[in-house]
Amino acid sequence: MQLLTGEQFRLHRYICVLLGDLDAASNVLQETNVALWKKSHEFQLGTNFSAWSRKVAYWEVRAYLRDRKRDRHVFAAELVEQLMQQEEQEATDETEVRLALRHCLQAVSRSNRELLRLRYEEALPIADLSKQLERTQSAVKVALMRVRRALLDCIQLQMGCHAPRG
Amino acid sequence: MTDAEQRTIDELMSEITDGAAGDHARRLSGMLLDRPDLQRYYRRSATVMALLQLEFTQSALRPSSVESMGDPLTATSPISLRPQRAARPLTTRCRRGTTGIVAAAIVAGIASLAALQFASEDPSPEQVAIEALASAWSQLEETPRVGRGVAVRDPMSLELVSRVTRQPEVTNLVIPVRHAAKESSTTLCRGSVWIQRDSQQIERGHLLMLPPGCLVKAEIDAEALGMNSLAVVELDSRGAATGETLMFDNSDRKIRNALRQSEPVAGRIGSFAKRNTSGRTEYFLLIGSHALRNAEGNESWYQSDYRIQFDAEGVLVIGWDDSGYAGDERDASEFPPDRDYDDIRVVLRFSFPDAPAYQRSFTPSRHLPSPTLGGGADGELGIGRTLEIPPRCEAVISASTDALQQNSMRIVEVSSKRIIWKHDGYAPDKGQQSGKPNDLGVYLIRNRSDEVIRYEVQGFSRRTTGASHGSRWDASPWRVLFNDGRAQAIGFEDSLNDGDAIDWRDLLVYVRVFSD
Repeated sequence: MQLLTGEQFRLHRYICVLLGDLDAASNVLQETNVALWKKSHEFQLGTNFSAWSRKVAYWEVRAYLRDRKRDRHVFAAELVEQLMQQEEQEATDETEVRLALRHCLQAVSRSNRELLRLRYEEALPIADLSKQLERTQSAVKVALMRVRRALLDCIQLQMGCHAPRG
Repeated sequence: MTDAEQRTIDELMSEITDGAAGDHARRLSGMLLDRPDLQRYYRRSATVMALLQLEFTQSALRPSSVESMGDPLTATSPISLRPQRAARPLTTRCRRGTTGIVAAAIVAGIASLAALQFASEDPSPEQVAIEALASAWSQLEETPRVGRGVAVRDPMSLELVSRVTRQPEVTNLVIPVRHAAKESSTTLCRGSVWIQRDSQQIERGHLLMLPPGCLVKAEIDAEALGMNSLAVVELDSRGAATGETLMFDNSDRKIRNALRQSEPVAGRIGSFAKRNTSGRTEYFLLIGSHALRNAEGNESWYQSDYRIQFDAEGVLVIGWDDSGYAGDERDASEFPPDRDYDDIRVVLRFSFPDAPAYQRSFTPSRHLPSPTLGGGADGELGIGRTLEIPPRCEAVISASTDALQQNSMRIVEVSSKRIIWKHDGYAPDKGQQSGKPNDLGVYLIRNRSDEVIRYEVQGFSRRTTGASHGSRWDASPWRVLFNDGRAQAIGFEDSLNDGDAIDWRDLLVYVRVFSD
């Protein structure tokens, strides 16, 4: 369980990348945790838990896609396969990205920080955000898109320009 | 990948995440298929979205009062500060409506840290709570040596500590624990966390405890030529890292100062506040590190040793020394330790905001530690720097010396001319050359009145070499080296006639004023 706890945010990111949908990723993460628990006897201590848990997560993603084969809200299985392969080849250092993200969040304006907080922490839908902030839904979506893009640029700058800071 | 493609990916991801139902996923899927370059960009964007959600839903450190302290977030604030947010009220509420029961609730919360202290006495809840308010964080035993604690080998925790200290792989953490007298279980307790590395080095950090309902406000200052950093790592009740960290360092100030002059980097480098609304004790590991450059100019990081400089009535001051870890002879020979323990320092102030008024009514001391001289209007005025402590404010004053001569620090209350504190430092033959620290102590003044109270900070020196060697103390001229309105550094010079030796740092007094 200790291994699993430490792996949660990595698995969450991994599943989110494969599915492109935060809500779906949260659901599949739950399924993955159940599967990991059931299969825990198959894992051998001393071997790579991250790799094993990602494999289990991948199969849960595949199961999710299989159940929604005709759903236009999910990625094609071929793309998920390609994304998985790229994930294997180009490892993401989640801890490093997370630290860079925290650094970059400091540069975000107060109003945009509040926007992010309402969206992610309070989980307010765009319609509710629009009312609360007295802005159009389109304006809220664009603002969120821009701040995420700015954060991505900042993170890439941090990761590229600095040696590990944390 | 063109800009237009990038923009389209952003828009489709935005629609999938924030928008209404549609075929955006299918469109994005078709766009990304067989395009590794677009997939790479998409993966990075999705990573940001996933981690944003995690940051805002799972982070435990909430520097809620950073903004309320009046200090804008700057590049020198902790690199892992989340956006500021309002502190939430305590989730544990008194339903029965009596002050005594509220006290019991607090007692229950702090039971894990205070159990041993109070277990055999069965005092009233009120007594326990009042005591706990004042001293729960300060009455617990330090863990004096390796071997008394629980070993943590969780890979993620070790990796995290290795990262925040910027040093080779940590192999083991030994967390201090205490055994409850009436229980068979052990709980983590405040004290030294021993950090073992595969290089066989053993260093230490400090474990803080935050009882339920407790609010801690921390200010971090630096006074150092070189790079110093402080990491705050949250641990769970088993001693494993939760993944939440705060990092503070003086890098930006260092760069700025280096462009101007090679003076130590003084001043505030960050702050954080944390209120424990979880209903269980929270734990935070504090680790100081510093960078040293070798002859080739290559920078290496080392862990700094620390000292508890002040610990009373809800105020805890911890200072780190960047001279090299005590006991590391290689570093000590290359970089002689000055052991000033002010290179990076954190002032932590604890309170229980939701505690009933009567529990907060104990009278805090005005001067801590107790005045060194027994009263008497024997102080001289007009020779030092006047400090004005505003109403309802408190000041934390630290002093250190780094000089060939013996330097003394005095703090005189202006209205009474009473010397409140006096520290005569150490004669060179008894001082730093024999390993005595340059740290002259940390002092706390609380002004609970509605009027400004004035003090004078004075420096004296005594020649211990040459023809004028004697016992006479001469007042040293002073200069304000740094002042940002809330903190100031006052430097004293003991050899004004010796041009080569003038650095205004023979005695250094650092004052920080807190307004609440």
